[in-house]
Amino acid sequence: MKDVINIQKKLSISVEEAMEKLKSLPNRPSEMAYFDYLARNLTDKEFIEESRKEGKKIIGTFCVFVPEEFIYAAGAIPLRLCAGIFDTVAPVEEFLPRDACPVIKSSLGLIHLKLLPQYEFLDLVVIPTTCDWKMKYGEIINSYFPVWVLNLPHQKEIPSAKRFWKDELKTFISKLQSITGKRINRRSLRDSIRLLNRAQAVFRKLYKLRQRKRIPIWGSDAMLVMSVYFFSDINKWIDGMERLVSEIEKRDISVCPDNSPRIMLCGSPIIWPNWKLPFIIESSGGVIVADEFCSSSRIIYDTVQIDEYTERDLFNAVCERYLLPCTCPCFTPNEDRKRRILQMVDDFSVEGVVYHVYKGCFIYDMELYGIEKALKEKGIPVIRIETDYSPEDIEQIRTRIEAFLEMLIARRP
Amino acid sequence: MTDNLEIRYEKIGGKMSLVAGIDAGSTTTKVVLMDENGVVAHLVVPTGSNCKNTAEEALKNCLEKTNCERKDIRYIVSTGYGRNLIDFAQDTVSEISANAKGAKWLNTSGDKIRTIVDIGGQDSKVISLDDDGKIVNFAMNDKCAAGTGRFLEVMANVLEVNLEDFGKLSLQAKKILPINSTCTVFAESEVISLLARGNPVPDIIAGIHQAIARRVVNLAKRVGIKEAVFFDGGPALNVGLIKAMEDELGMKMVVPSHPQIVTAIGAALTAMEKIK
Repeated sequence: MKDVINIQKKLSISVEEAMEKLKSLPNRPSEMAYFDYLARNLTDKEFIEESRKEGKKIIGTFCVFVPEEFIYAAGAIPLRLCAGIFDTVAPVEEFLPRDACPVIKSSLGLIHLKLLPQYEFLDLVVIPTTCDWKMKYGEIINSYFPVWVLNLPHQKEIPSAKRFWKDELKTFISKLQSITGKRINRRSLRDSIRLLNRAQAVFRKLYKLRQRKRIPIWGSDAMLVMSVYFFSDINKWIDGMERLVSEIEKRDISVCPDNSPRIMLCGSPIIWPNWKLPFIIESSGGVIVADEFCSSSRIIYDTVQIDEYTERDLFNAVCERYLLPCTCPCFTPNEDRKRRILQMVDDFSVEGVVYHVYKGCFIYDMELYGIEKALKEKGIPVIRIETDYSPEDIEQIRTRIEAFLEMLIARRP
Repeated sequence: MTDNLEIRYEKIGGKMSLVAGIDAGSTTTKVVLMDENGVVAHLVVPTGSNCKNTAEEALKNCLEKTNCERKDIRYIVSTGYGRNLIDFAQDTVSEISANAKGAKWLNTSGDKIRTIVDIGGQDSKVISLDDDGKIVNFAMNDKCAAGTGRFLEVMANVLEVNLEDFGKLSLQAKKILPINSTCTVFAESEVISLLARGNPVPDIIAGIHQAIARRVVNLAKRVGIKEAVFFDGGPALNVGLIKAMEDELGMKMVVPSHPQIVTAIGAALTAMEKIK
């Protein structure tokens, strides 16, 4: 118990520190206040309490593969559990392998210590089989919560993959319905698709704004908004985003000098409050104009394409949205990811790519080979940063990033 | 060892374009004073625990070699791990940019430098340059002491040999005894067991040099090795390590006469650009 209180204390100190650094960035939109508030608490306690009072079931999710449309349609609430908290890593290092990735360690720590409400009241935890760490992680957290494993095909483009994925999601829906006691029908599915569409639409507005020459928002802020999405009340989140986007459109200023080197972040997902790398980049004269993280830009970028409003069509459309456009390196081959990154480099006028790899995150590390080659051919420099959540390597990373930014400036025509 | 570095140490008096470059490294701090005609004075001192005071003191001592005073220095640029702690510097530059700048300036004759290998006290780096001397890529090893000057220091300690004699001794080796561990701590115990088996010290040192050279050359291969290769940092004073590196690379390297101060020269050159 004493340990738990100690970790809780450390946790609030490190969140406070990250918050202070965030607030030291100049020209932040005032409409970040809503997201700052949630980021500081790492949860929306009232929302979770209210949902429970209404008798809504809470479904914990990992990765971007768990269709939120089905969860909402079944009358439940999805909360994403991937965590970026350093202070809960040490308590589980006693029994997890040293090389396990920090996302696994951090979120297991939270579950183990029950530090946040979203890790306390879970009726089901859904774990897609994206990597070996996560698969085996499911077996461990099974002793805390009921776990549902969502099997993924490794080759998304072969015909059997689609069939397999649809069967997987059909059984998942049965499971959801048995938990909530509510059947998913045409109307509830249509409504949940529309709800997600609203979130996607406002996200895409911000995404578009960031392509401008004048930099409307710090990458650190744009990523924060998405990290908060993990545990937000989606309706309030959409409202907050709409206010944020309209403020940004109205004020039309650049948060930093227009000639700051434009950086894109790629690789292993960065999750609040582990803002180590974004802060180093944006306090060293660079600006993050885009990222391809499954913890940020990829969460709700893709939209559900509907042909007809039959229950069957709606179901198929949701299934496909989560499989076909996804660029997760758990797929092979994964040419889509390369194409998508190259496209983003063009769309956002990216000058250099910072490729972030967690220790132990093999699939992202392996894909660097092909991506670096493709970017090199395009004349875009790449720097690989391997790290975890611990603060000890900040200065070493800073040296590399500063040199990388200097190099980007020196090679301008 | 060819370069055009001539350190004048002349009593120049209060010249108008005096600048300073300070490279606050993990092990040593390097100070270079320059004017438009080149390097006026330099100093290499152990960094110790207070890098700001060390740099301040070193700058003072460096100034004493000339007739100038602190107020004559028009611009100071700091680099190295302690760059942000040197609060009396007007600007900072990363050691990678500074190193490239210094190497380019030093190497006016001979082939163009396309690769820089820098072994520091606690890291090693390889920088790849284009024909104009612009940085196109770089790689750093900063997570581990193997392949750094610290590795040499630890080994010299175990073998009870002065670091200054390390290089020359290894040239007397009859054969190279391979050190297989890449970790400094394990390599240390490997060296102890080689000693216990009565192996001659020069052969062991040659093995130590080969171990470092292999590691650094592997790092260089990731970045891409192009001739001419420039080698700097404190360990570039070690003739045995130079030989081991050239053997691993399969080519000769350009080694400056003062390999420790190349990055500080780069910082001073950055300062010079600022006052122009």
